[in-house]
Order: sequence, then C-alpha cells, then structure tokens
Amino acid sequence: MQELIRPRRRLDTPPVLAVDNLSVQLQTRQGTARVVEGVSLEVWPGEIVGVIGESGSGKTMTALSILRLMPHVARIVGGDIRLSGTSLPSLSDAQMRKLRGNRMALIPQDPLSALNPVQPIGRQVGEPFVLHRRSRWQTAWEQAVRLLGAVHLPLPETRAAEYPHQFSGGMRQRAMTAMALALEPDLLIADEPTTALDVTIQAQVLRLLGEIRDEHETAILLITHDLGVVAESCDWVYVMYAGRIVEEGPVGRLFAHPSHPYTQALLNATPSIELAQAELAAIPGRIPSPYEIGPGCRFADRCAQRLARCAQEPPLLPVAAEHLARCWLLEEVRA
Amino acid sequence: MLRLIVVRLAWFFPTILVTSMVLFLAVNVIPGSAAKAALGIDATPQAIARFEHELGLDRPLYVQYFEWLARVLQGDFGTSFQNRVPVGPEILARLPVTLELALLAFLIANLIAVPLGAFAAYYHQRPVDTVISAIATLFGAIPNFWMATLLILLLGMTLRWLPAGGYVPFAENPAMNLRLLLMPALSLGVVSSALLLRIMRAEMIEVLSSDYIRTAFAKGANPSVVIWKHALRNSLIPFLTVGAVEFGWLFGGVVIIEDIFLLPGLGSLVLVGIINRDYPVLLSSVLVITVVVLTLNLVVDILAAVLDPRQVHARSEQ
Repeated sequence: MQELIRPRRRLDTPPVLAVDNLSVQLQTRQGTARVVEGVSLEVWPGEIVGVIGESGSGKTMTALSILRLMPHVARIVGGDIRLSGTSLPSLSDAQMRKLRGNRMALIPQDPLSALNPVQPIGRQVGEPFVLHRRSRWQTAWEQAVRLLGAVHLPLPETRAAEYPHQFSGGMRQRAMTAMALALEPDLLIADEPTTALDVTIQAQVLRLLGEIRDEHETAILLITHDLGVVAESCDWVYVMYAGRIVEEGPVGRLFAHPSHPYTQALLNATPSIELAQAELAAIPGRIPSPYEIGPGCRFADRCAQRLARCAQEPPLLPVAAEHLARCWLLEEVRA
Repeated sequence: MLRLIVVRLAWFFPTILVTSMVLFLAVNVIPGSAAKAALGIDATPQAIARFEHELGLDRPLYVQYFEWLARVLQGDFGTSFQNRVPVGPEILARLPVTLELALLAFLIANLIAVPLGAFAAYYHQRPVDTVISAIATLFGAIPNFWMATLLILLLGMTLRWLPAGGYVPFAENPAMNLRLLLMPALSLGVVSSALLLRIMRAEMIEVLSSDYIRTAFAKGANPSVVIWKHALRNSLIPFLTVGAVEFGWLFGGVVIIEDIFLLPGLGSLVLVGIINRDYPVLLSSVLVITVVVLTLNLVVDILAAVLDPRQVHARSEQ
C-alpha cells in the first residue's frame, strides 16, 4: 500500500482551500497578461502550504484572487476556488465580504503600510468584531487587547491605544496577525509576511504562524520568495514560475530531490551555511513577460537542460508519489 | 504638537505685518487719486492740494504707512475720505455678512467636492470618474459673476424660488437670511468646488491604492466603511491645506458677488473703496479680510496636525 505522504489530507471533508485550474488575466492597454494559468492547489486543516516563486510568478495574484482583492483590471477567466467546498467565484461581492476577515483572512507583506496610520492599533485589530459580529466598539477593543496579548505583544492594554508609527516592524506584524486571527478563520493567507522584517523577527513571526496552526488547526497559505521560510515552516510547497505551478510536493522530498530545472536553479541560488564559500549560481535571463507567453515551456529560455520538445509545454508529471514537476526531463529519464 | 502651534503663531504676526505693507503700497500705486475721486475731475489744482494736505496725503509714503499702522494697532481704522464717517464701526457691522457668506459658500463647495471627489476616486478610470471630472472642469471654468447671473435668471426671475438680492440679519429672520444668502453662496461655492473636488479626488485615489485600504477590504469592510472610516481622514490631511487656500480665493469672489446680490458686506465696501480711491476704507477692509484668511489658515494647519497622529506624537518620540 502506498505511503500517505500528505498526512493532513482527509477523505471525509473537502480541503479548507481548493484552487482548481485557476486562470487570472489582466486586461490593460498593453493587451492581455496571463498572470496565473491553470493553477491548482490545496490547503488542508492544520497545514502550512508554501507557494514560492520570484516576483512576476503570479503567486500574489493567486492569493489576492482567492480573497477577490485583485486590482480591477484582473479577471478570473477560468477555474474554481473552493473554501471548505463553497465555490467562491460564483458568490456576490456582499457574500464575499461576509467571508473575508471572518472565514479567511490576510496577513500582508508590509505591516507598516498595511496598517492605517491615523487609527489606533486596537481599533484596527478589533474591527472584524464590529464588521462581522456587530459588536460594539468597546467589546471589539477588549477583544483586540486579548488578541494582542495572544500574539505575545507586551503590555497589550497600553499598546492597543498606540498608533502604527509607534510600533516596531515585528510588533506591527504581530498586530496584523492578531487582526487576521480575530475571528479564528479557517484559512489564513500570509503574503510574504516576513519579507519586510529583520531576520530575527522573521523567525518569531514564523514561530507564531506555527503556534496558530497548532492551536486552531488553521490552514495557512504562505506566499513567499524565500526558500528558507518554506524549509522552516511549510509542510507542502508549490513552486510557481510565470503564472504556472512547475513543481509541487512535500517540503522535505522537494528540497531533497528538486526535479524541475527552475527549482534546482532556485536552490542553487540560495546561500546556505555549508556552501557559504561556494559561488552562488544566479539564474540567467529574466522571467517572461505575461503579455508574451508562447506555447512552450515557460522556463525554456533560461534552462540549461533544454530539449527540442520544450517548444511544447509539458504537463505536471509524476516524480514520485505526490511529487509532481512540469518538465519533459522526467520522461527522458524514464525512457 | 505644541511646538507646531508655537511656530505657526510666531509666523502669524510677521505675515500680517508684511501683508499690511504690500497692501499699503499696492493701494497707493494704483492709478487715480483720492482727491480727484472725492472732488470730481473739474477740481482745481489748489483744491486738490488742500484736500491732500488736510488728509496728510502729501507726506512721504512711509510716514503715512507708519501713522496708519500705529492707529490700526490701537483699533482706529481712520475715517472715510468720501463721507467722513469712521471706518471701524462700518467694518464691524459688515464683517458678519461677509463671514456668513464665505462660510456658507465654503460649506457648499465642500459638500460638492468631498463626496463627488471620493466617489470619482473610488471609480477611478471608469465612466463615473470621467463624468465627475468633466463636471469639475466645467464648474472651474465658470466665472462666479456669470454663475450668479444665471442663478438670478433661473431661481430668482423664472422660477421665483429665491429673492434676487438684499439682506436680512440672521438674528432678525434666520429663514429669510438663509434664503437671501443661498444664491450668492451657491455662485461662490459651486465655482470653488472645482479645485477642491480635484484635490479630494487625487488624494483619495492615492489613499485608496494604499495597502491599509486593502487591509480594510480584507477584513470584510464594505466600500462605504472603507471610504468614510478608513480613507477619508487620511485624505483630509492634505486636502485641508488646499481648502484653506481656496477659502482665501473665495474672499476674492466675495467682492463682486456681494455687489451683484446687494449684500452689505466687506466685499462691497472694498469695491466702494476702490471706485472712490477711499484709502482708509479700502485698506482697512482688505486688511480685515487678510487677517480672517490668515487666521483660518492657522486653524487649518493646526487641525491638519491634530488629524494626523504622526504629527501629534512627533515631539514625544524624540
């Protein structure tokens, strides 16, 4: 019998988040940009799932599409997004508002710009109670103080009355996390939550996400470009490149056997302690513009192991059980 | 915060002093003479010389300025060349009319500019935005006196909804007072709203594109909560400063509008002062208007700082 590699997958309930063959396009004066194409991913309860890719890979657009917070030039042109089985694209804006901040919440990239500069922290953290539970502001404030304490912010009563500019970067990200956690959502979407922070603070924030997962069985989708973050905190990872998922699998397996040339290059481009002396391998070339994507493999132009058949894009091919990669090399090896 | 208020106050009085100098100079540089205006164009050179000597107009300009300044500082605004009545009480009686008109006009301008500007910003680059921006351009292109004439024709003469001119003090008959001031305030306010609307729209577009607005949407807030509770206060901080400048411009319009609607305010007094070369009347009215506008600017600067917690805490953090 096959070993169950994704331990939190269940057969009795649907995943908290199921993105199924999602395609998102931007309609601009320059034309149509295919920023997300045929993306499928799942997040199960208590799982931290990483989506990794460089800027322009479509990872943030995928996250914003789930929340329906993408810019107004963006359109979902195909596929489905299901939150615990409920299809989101067919919901009205008002129905989506009831889910946002309530059943699913966002932890944004830069906590300073993501906090309103003219409102006290407590008000912002407590607002979901007013919006979704019709609480009075006083109750919401008390809840905010409790939440700020729960994310280990010292002196939460005093701190709640302060403004974002009086907080340090790590404290702001704690406040953002408290706000996202307010109504104990089933799904947390963390969009590069550590990018704007110092390395020491990054570790604290990642530890906090782990705690949240352990305490509430929250499903967390972690968007990042940092392999270290994925290695440290994720159970499962999807590698995105130019709007496509190019590799997916359990973190340990994928890091041990990266099977897409892009993933391999990404790992080679990341400094590690053992290889500190070795030269870092930069990936030559640039990510293709979403306005001019051809029929071939999107990484082909930058790929050292390019084959003739790369002029046609490969599907996701199995590497091992539940480990997939979008590369013809897998068939070459087998043949 | 306290430091900001002290700095603004410290600048307030020198600004008024410099303004008074510029005013005095400007009034004396404009062509025409008080004597000719008072005595008529047939006046003999002897009569003119006597008139100017009696009023001290034959002395050097700087002597006249310091004498005028010294009197004004003591609360004496001089007497009119034309009819020899004290200017001070006249100004005091007319100031409330102009203040009420200006405030009402400013209120109308903001009632148009803030919601429409916010609305246009929310629908940025969509048809609603284009239509509102076109309306703003149209409003800004209308001269206020032409707007006044149109309103009199439409609301006053054709529909007969509002009286076409005149004034009743608010204390005497509030309803009539407002009915009389509505058209002049509209003529000024609608035109003023154009610039304010553009500023509001621009500030709101910037604020709405910021990350904390996305955070508010991510919490499940609806657009009206996002605009009025999250975005407005942030947009108001820069908007207020422009608003104060626009309020100053509005006073420029008051001169002609008060004349059209027969309002006994400071603006019509300024006009009388210019036509008659009645320097005490002209100087004093314009000086009072200047002080009012500068005071408002001061209040707005402080208010903008109060709205922005980053400025309130700027001192305590250092």
